[in-house]
Amino acid sequence: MIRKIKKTCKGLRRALNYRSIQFTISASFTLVTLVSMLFMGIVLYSKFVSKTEETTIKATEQLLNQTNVNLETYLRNMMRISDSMYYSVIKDKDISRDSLDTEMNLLYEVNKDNLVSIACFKDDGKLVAATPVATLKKNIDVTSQEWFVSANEQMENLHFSTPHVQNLFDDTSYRYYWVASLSRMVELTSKGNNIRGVLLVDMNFSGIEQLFKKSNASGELEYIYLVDSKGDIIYHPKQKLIDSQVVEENNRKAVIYEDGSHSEYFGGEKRIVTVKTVAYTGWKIIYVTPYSTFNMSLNQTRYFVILLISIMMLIMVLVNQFVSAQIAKPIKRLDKSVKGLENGNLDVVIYEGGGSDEIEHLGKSLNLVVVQLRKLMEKIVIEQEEKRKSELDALQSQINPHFLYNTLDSIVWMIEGERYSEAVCMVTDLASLFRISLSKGKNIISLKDEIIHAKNYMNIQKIRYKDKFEIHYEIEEEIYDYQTVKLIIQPLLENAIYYGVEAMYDEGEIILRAYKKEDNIYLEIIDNGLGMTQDSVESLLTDNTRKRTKGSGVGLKNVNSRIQLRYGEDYGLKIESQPDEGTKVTIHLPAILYSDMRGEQKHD
Amino acid sequence: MTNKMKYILSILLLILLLFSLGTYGYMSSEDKNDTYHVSVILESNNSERWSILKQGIESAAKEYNTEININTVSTKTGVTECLDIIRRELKNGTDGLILDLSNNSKLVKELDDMLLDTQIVMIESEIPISKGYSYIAPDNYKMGYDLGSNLLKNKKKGKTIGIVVGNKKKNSNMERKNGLIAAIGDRNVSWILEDDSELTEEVIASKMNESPVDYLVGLNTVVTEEILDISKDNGTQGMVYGVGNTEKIVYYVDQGVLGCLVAPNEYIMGYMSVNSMFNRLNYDTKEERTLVDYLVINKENLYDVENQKLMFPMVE
Repeated sequence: MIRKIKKTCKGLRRALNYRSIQFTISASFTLVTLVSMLFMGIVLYSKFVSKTEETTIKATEQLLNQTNVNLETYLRNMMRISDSMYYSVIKDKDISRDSLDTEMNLLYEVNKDNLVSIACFKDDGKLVAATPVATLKKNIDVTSQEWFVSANEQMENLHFSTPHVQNLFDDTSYRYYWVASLSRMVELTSKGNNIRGVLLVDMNFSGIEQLFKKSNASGELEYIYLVDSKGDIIYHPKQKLIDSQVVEENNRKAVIYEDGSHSEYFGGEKRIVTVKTVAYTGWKIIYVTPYSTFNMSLNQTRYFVILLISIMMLIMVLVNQFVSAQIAKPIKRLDKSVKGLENGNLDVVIYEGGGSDEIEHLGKSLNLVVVQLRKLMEKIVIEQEEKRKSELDALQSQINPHFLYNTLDSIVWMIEGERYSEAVCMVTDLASLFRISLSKGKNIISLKDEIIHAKNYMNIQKIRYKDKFEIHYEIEEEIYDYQTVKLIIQPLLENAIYYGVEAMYDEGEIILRAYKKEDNIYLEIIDNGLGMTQDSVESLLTDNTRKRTKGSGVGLKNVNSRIQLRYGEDYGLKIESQPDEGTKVTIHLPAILYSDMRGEQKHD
Repeated sequence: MTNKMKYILSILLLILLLFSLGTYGYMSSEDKNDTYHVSVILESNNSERWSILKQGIESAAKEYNTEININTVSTKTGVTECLDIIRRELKNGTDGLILDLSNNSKLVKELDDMLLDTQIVMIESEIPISKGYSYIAPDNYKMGYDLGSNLLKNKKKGKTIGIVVGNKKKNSNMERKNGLIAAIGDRNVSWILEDDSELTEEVIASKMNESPVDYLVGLNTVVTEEILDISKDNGTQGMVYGVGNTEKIVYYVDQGVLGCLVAPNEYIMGYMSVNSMFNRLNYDTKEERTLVDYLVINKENLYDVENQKLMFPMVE
C-alpha cells in the first residue's frame, strides 16, 4: 500500500515536471483556481458561520426579550390585582363588620384564567376572606409557609414565591394547584383598629408554564428556562427529568451571569447562554443554545459549499484545459513542423497561421529560413552531382587511350603481317566500338549496345590472340531493352583475357552470360583461367594502392565504383575465384528499362 | 498512460472526491424523518392508573421522534384481548412493544411465537419470555420492604395487619409482598388477599368485613385506591399503607388517611422505557435492567420541596 502511494506520488512529481506549454499553463491555472476556490470557500463559509451565529444570537435575544415582556406583563397584572385588592377593597373596609367577599370574588372572576385564589389572612394566620370559596385545611399553619414569612419579613414589598403546590384549601376533587404566590403585608381595619394581615394572590403556575412552553415550541435543541434569584428552577422544559436527576442543568452557575450572552461548557458540550433578568422578582430567563444547533443547521450549508466548490473547480479545470489548449495549439503545431525539420525533412510546411501575432511571426520567419535552407541544399546536391559526373567522365576517359593503343598496336601487327582482311575487320570492329563508346556523350546505354560493344571488343581480341581462347555468349534477349552504365563488360573481358586465359597452355574459354532475375540484371564473365586466392579476390575491390600491370588499366574497382555511383551500394560487382579453376565476375544491375531513362540522359 | 493524463486524472479524482463528499454530506445532513412506531400495552382496570407514566412516555416520544400508541387492557377481559391487541399492533408495523402484563403461560407461549422481530421493553413487572428484552422498574422488593419498615415503626403492639396483594400473576406485586413480609414478619399478618387478576372493591370489602384488621396494606395503585375507597369514611386515620402516586392517593396522604405511601417515579419509568426502546431499535439490544427511584411519603414530608415536585404532576 505504502509502496503504491509512493509510486503514485512519484508519478505525480514526474507529471509536475512535465514541461509542455499546455500542461504548464493548465497546471498553473488549475493550481491557482484550486487554491483560490478553496480560500474563497473557507472565507465565505467562515463569514457565513459568524453571520449565522450573530443572527441566531439576535433572534435568541429577541425571543428572550419577548418572553420577558410577556412574563413581566403577567406579573404586573398580578401586582395590579394585589394593588386593587389592597387599595380599593381592604383599605376601605372594616373586617369586623364588612365582608371582602364581593369585591374579592369580582376581582377573581375577572382574572380567573390566571388565578387560583385570592386570600387575606390576619397576622396570626387566621383566614379573613378567600375566593373562590373553599375550606381551609384542618390544622394548617399558614404562618410557617414561605409566602407568609416573606411578607412579614419585608413589609413594604410585594413578594413573589417560587412555584409550589398550594397547601391551603381542602379540595375533595383531589385537585392540587401549582401556584406562584404574590404576598404582601396589608393593614386591616378591625373595629376601627389597624391590625396587620397578609394578602395572598396565588397565580396559576400554568400561566407561566404556558408562556414558556410557547417560547420552547420550536422543538429544536435550544431551549428557554426560568430560575429564581437563588438559581432554583421555576420552569424548565425538562423539569421532571431534572428533578429525577436524569438530566442536569447548569442553573446554579447561570444565575450568576450578567444579562447578555455567555459562552460555557456544560455536559461535555459548548453552548451559548443568554440571560435576561425579570423585573420585580429577580428571576432570570435563560436561553440555552448548544453549538451543535449551529453545527446541525450549518452542516447542510457546509456540504453545499463543498459541492459548489467542487462543481466550480470542475468547470474551471475544464475551462483551463480549453484555454490552455487554445493558447498552446498554434505553438504545438509550430513545434510539430519544426520537429519534421529536425528529422531532415526540408519539404515540411512550417505552420504560420493562427495563434498570437508572436507565434505567427515566428512561423513566417522559420518558413523563410526553411526556404533558404532548401535552396542551399539543392545547390549543394547539384554541385555534388556535377562533381560525381566529372569524376565519372575522368574514369571513362582512362579507357580510351589504353584500348586504342592496344588495338592500334594489333592492327599495325596485322598490316605488317599482311593480314589485311583481318585488319579491315578489326578496324571495322574498332569503329563500331568507338561509336558505342561515344554514344553521343551518353553515360547510360542499352544493354544491347553494351553487349555489341563487348562483342566488338572480343572480336578484335580474338584476332589479336589468334584464337588462343574461345568466347561463348549466353544472353537472354529480353535484357537488351534494359539500361546499363556503359563500358562495364569490356574491362572485365579484358581482365579475363589478360589475367585468366592468356598465360594458359591450353585453350582458354570465356563465357559471357546475361540474364534477368526478378528486378535485377546479372551479367556474368566466366573464365577457366588461372584464378586467384580468396585474399586476392577480397583486395580487388577494396585496395586502392593496387597497381595493374596489364590491360587497359581500367580495374574492377573502377567498374564497381561507376555502377555504385549510378545505382547505389546495393549493386556492383561480385567476384568468385578458385586458383587453377577460373574466375567468375558477376555484374549486378537494377532492371531499369532503357526507354524509361531517356529523359535523364540529358542530365548525364 | 502519459504523465499528463495521470496529472489530469489526479485532479479530476480529487474533484470527484470533493463532489462525492459534498453530495453525501448534503444528502445525509437533510432532516431525517425516521420515526419509530412503538406500542405500549398496559394492564389496568383504572383509566387514571397510568397517567403519570403516560406523561413520561409522551415526553420521551417527542424527544426521540417516536410515535406512540398506548393501549390499556383490562385484567378482566383476559389474555385473549391482550393477544388480539398485540397482533393488531404487529400487523400495523410497530417497531417495538412496551409491556406491563401479567404472567400467563398462554400469553408467554404466544408471545414467544409472535415477537420474533420486535423489540421488547417491560416496565414495572416482567414476564418470562424467551426473547431478550429490557426491563425498567422500581426495586419492587425494596419498595415492599420500606413500606413494611414504616408500618412497623408506626404500628402499635398487638395490632393486626391485612395485606391486599392484588393480581398475583404480576411479579411486581409478588416481589413487593416478599419485601413487605421480610420487613414485618409473618406473625403480624392476619391475612393476605391475592388472586389471578386484579381484586375488586367488593372482594376486598368482603374480606375486611369478614376479618377486620387494624392496618391495611395495598401493594399497587389499584388496590390502594380500592382500600381507600372502602375505608375513607371508617375513621381509619393513618391505618392504610399503600403504593401508588395518583392524585387520589396523594390526597389521602395529605388527609392523613394513608400512614405511609411508597410512590414509584412513574414519569421516569415511562421516559426510560421509550429511551431504552430507542436504544434497542438502534441496535443496542443488550438486556438492560434499569431501576427507577421511588419516594417514601407521609403527611409530614408531602410538601417538601423535592417531594412535591414528584408527587404533584404539573397541570397540563
